[in-house]
Amino acid sequence: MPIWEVLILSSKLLVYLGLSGLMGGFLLFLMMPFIQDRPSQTRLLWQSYILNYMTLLALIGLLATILDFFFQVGALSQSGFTGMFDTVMQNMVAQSALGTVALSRLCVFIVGLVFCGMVYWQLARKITPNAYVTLIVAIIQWGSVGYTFMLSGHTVQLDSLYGYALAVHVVIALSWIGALWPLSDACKQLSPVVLNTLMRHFGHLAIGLVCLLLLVGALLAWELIGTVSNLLNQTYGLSLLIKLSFVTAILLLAAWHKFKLTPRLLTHGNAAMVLRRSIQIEMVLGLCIFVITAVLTTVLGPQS
Amino acid sequence: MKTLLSTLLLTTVLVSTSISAHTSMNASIPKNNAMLMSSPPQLSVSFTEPVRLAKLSLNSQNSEPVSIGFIPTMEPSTSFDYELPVLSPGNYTAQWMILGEDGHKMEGSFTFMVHGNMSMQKDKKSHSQHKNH
Repeated sequence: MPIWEVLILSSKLLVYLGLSGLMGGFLLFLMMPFIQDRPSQTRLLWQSYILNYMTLLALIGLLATILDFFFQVGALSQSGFTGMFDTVMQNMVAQSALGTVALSRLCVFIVGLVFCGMVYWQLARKITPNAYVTLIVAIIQWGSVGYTFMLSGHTVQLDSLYGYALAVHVVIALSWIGALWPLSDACKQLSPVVLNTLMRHFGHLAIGLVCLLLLVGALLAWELIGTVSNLLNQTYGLSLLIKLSFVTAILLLAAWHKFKLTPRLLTHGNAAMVLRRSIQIEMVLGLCIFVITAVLTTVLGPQS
Repeated sequence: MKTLLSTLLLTTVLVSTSISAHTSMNASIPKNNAMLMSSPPQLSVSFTEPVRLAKLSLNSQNSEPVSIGFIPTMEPSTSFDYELPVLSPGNYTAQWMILGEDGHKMEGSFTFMVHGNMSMQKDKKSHSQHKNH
């Protein structure tokens, strides 16, 4: 694989991670009103943990977005590493869909960082963050992230319906996978009763989101692949099958969490640690899905 | 679960079955593998969708670049034309690289041969050698 493809793939993966952390963080912040902990110190600690997580991943995403822009320029310039600073190619990339995507994602990360800064300030003064403000910022962020995925990639040439389907698919997947790391930490920090409440609410939300995720995912896969034979005979189709197998595994694990482990939190002493380990496995599967998606959208195309 | 499966099945039946394609080269002048009796007046490339042409180079069989006055285009277009200098007989390879509307980079090449009028060329050569004596 050429060096530029490796670099673009790596930066894209880090951008996905950054977006995922930010989106997942917003999802969990919106669930805060459901968590009533007495004393509320553990809830505050967990909120701070989510904020640190969102800030770190937003910074990684911000840096990766900038690097990705320069890697795209370098790949187009084809004149070694100095090609990244070719102003003509920089203009070309900036004026293309890649430039719009990069700028939009930079805005998403900056708005995310400003939000984190604002909540840090409020928590330091023992002010409860306003749920409506969080909801408005989250909706703007989710919408913007979905929009960036509609601008580039394999669905651009398709009907706009598929663009919206992709946006919904991506936002749900990023938010879900991004929420896993703070959830695994919640298993350690929150009391079993509070954790049970959190996981039950997360489970209810996840059922609706997963149905929507699968529906739009199936719609997109069918449009991009076309026939069952393409799914089995093309490299792109086979890669998609591998991705689907990871998605199936993650769904089975999520179902196990919801129907088996969450109820056990109230009765079994070590259930929280079992759940924590299982969420960490779910995270690894989520990362694998990110890697396959980055390969599918960077190296392979539906014609491969 | 049954409802979900039925919905998925129904969706897959209802949606069309076209395969999306990346932008690709539609045609070129000269055509790929063309054998020309004289030097072509221009080099043209056209694509299936509007693209930004990042690179277009023409090299002779000795890998010597031929100047075609190429400047990368910022405005997307489906076709690009460049006037060519008079090419001497030989094989030529044109290489292109585009940035598609979907943000994907694509590259390709095509070759052609300029035969020229070999007998005339030989006559001219011997004539000039004769004059030098």
